[in-house]
Amino acid sequence: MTRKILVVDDEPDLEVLIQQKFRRKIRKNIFEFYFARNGLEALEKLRVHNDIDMILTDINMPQMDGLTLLEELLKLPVLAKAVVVSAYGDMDNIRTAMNRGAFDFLTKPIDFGDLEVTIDKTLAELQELKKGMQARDALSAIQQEMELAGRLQQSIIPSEYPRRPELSVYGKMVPAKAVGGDFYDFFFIDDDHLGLVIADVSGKGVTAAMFMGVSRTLLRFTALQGLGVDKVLSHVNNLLCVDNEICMFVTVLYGVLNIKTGELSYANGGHNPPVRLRAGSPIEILPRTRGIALGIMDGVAFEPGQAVLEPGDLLYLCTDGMPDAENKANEFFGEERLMAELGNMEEISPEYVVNKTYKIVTDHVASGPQFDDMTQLAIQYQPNE
Amino acid sequence: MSIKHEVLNGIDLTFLSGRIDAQSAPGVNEEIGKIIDEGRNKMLINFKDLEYISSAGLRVLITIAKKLKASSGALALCGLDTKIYEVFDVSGFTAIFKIYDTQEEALAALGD
Repeated sequence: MTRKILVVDDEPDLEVLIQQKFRRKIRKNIFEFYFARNGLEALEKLRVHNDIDMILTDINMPQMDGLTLLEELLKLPVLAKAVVVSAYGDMDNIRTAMNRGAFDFLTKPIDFGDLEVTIDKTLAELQELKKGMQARDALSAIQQEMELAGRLQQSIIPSEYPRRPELSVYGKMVPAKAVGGDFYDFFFIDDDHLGLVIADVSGKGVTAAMFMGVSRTLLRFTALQGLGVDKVLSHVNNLLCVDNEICMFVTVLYGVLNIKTGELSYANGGHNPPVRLRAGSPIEILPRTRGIALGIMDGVAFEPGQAVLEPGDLLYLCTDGMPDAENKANEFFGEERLMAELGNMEEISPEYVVNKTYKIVTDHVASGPQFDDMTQLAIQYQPNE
Repeated sequence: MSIKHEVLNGIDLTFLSGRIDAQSAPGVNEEIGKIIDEGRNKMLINFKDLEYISSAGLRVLITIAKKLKASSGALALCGLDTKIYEVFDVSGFTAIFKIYDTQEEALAALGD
């Protein structure tokens, strides 16, 4: 690419000298020189050729001097770097020029060897600057993309809760980055059976989000076939194991609640077990049933678990971003504290429990960074209301 | 996160200390991957100085285990404290990895 250099000097001999000294580079299209006799002419040239890379300017010139030109350059949307040429020892003007954004200076009479070094150095600097700006533009495009992906992700997580008198549901997923690997889901398999999912994909960010999308869709699709909870997980596991070269995995708790009877069956793919909250009783962590995170080993079996929800019981599910939340001193919120807080709720309703727990955990994190996605899902069974 | 590596009785012994999370996991993968790429295939990872492992860290361990399996090698883990063992247990990974209480037991098992 030809680099364009504008030389501003009222001395016509300089033009001849430069054409002569740089004739090889001009012939090879490495450099292309433009000439102006004063600041005003220079600005006109820049208006026409806004891709000029470098300006070499004298200070004392008629109509508009070099220092005024530098001031004008600051107002223009040009990247060009300016180098001033001044009399030897003219420190005042050199300081003024540097303060007005000149990149370097040369003294008269011009040493062409030094000029060539200065041109190369200035152009290299400009190149770096351009690269930096390109990187910044690319980054901002990625950030916009991520923001959109985050919105898409939030939109596939259900935000409409079932309008059924037997049931109240509330969930919250707050990713650590623009997109996350956690999700929750719920859907009716038939009139009486509600499917419930909470899941955590290994890692976070874009890779996790893509695996999350696949896992969520496979799970929902498989669950809607109406298989037993254990069969659903083993089926989805086998599907996720295919071509999983980068060893992504997802921990899943999948449950089906019969909203007529309160019977809950669940299977656990390496996730924390559900917690039952009941007014006036201590919390109960449902038994951990055998199973492993999905996507690692195909053909594994999952053990189904059963529980019966009494009217008013609330089932609480979360990902490890909740207990593993850390404050600035790297202290975990902790499983024990989480269970203690869940056992200490003033009100047992999904929205209250989820929001209250979120507040307590984020209060603990305070000004520390959020390391992991934080996801919760709560379901309350209330057949008599 | 820091990684220390030595060879003991022909078995590659790696000490992981600090935190393995999404940030440090790729480094662990690379370091241990290098050892496997050299053709070494009996590996013991000692967790005694490990404070925390996230799911991204577990993923790296699975990657390592798969890589070793592909080269007919073996991987064992030891020195897991209660909290880290719990992470393995909840996710079902205690069924996938060979986990020993002490380094001696692990070395003996790998040596067979």
